[in-house]
Amino acid sequence: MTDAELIRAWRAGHGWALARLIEQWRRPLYGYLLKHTGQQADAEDLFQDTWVKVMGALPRYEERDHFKSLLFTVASRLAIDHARARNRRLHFYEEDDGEQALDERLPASLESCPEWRLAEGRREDLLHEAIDQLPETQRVVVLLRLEAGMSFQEIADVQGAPIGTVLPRMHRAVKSIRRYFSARGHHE
Amino acid sequence: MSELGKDSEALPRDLGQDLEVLEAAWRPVPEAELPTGLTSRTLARLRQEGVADYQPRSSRSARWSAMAGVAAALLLVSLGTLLEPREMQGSLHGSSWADGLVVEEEFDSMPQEVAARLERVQQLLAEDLSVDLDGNLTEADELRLHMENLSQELEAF
Repeated sequence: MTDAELIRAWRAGHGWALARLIEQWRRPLYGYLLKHTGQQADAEDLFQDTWVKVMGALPRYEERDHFKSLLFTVASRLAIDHARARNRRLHFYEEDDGEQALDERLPASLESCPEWRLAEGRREDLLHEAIDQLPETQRVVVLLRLEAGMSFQEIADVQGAPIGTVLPRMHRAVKSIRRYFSARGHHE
Repeated sequence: MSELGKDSEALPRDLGQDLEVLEAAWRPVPEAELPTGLTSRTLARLRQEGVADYQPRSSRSARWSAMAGVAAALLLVSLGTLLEPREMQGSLHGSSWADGLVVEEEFDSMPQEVAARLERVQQLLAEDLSVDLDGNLTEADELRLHMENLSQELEAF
């Protein structure tokens, strides 16, 4: 069932429809929060907080709105607020053209980085490390894409930015990940 | 290509490829690690704020399995009763053109009958389902919603 159908059913008095809505979004939402915070307990708290906020907003929700965008906008804001409250260092600095020039020495693709071809478990750890080091705006783009399965337009809605801003963020993020894997290959 | 790759063409080719590699390598959180739903503390918050009537997911009781069976049986009986006259008349006429005629006549008169029967099934389902909600989400719940949708569609028709 679609989000809109479930929300309509909930408004008509079917409490179970809300349970189904939560069930439908349980994995991507929790996964996103877990990758964002890096802590299971924090992710679980934010999962609960997100639904409290979202349910508070549902009476004003209109079907032309994308529920997914509402859900992850709330989740992203809460995750960033939470990180600030925990004094986690968030950086919003994005690389300049000088740093981009270094990309000429990068492998042509992620798959051509020796470190990428490591055993799967190790590769996953490195990937999460690489994502953790991204500027916040890029990190959100990557996690919304990979964990929540969002299109770039949906990510643009969540970030309140034009798609022309989101695409370069993804561009830089993917290059940074490639650079991270490439550097690990040289250092180890 | 994963579903995520659908708008990757918006990126430069090398980055689109990297993105596909990332998507393929990405591992979702295992089921066992996922939260089961809203906690009792969150539910208390919601009740306090008057936000929502939420029925958390829990293990399905035997009662609910039985209810789903009853709902399905009611649906089958209703549909069976609806279809029977048409089939009987069709067999009495015994020819394809006559079948078509009967079906057409039945078709004209069917929506009201269907709507009335569906309404009755809904009433029965609502009565049964209201006995013991017990916070469980079952196929019977969905069946009821689908019936409502179907009823609306038929009424619109």
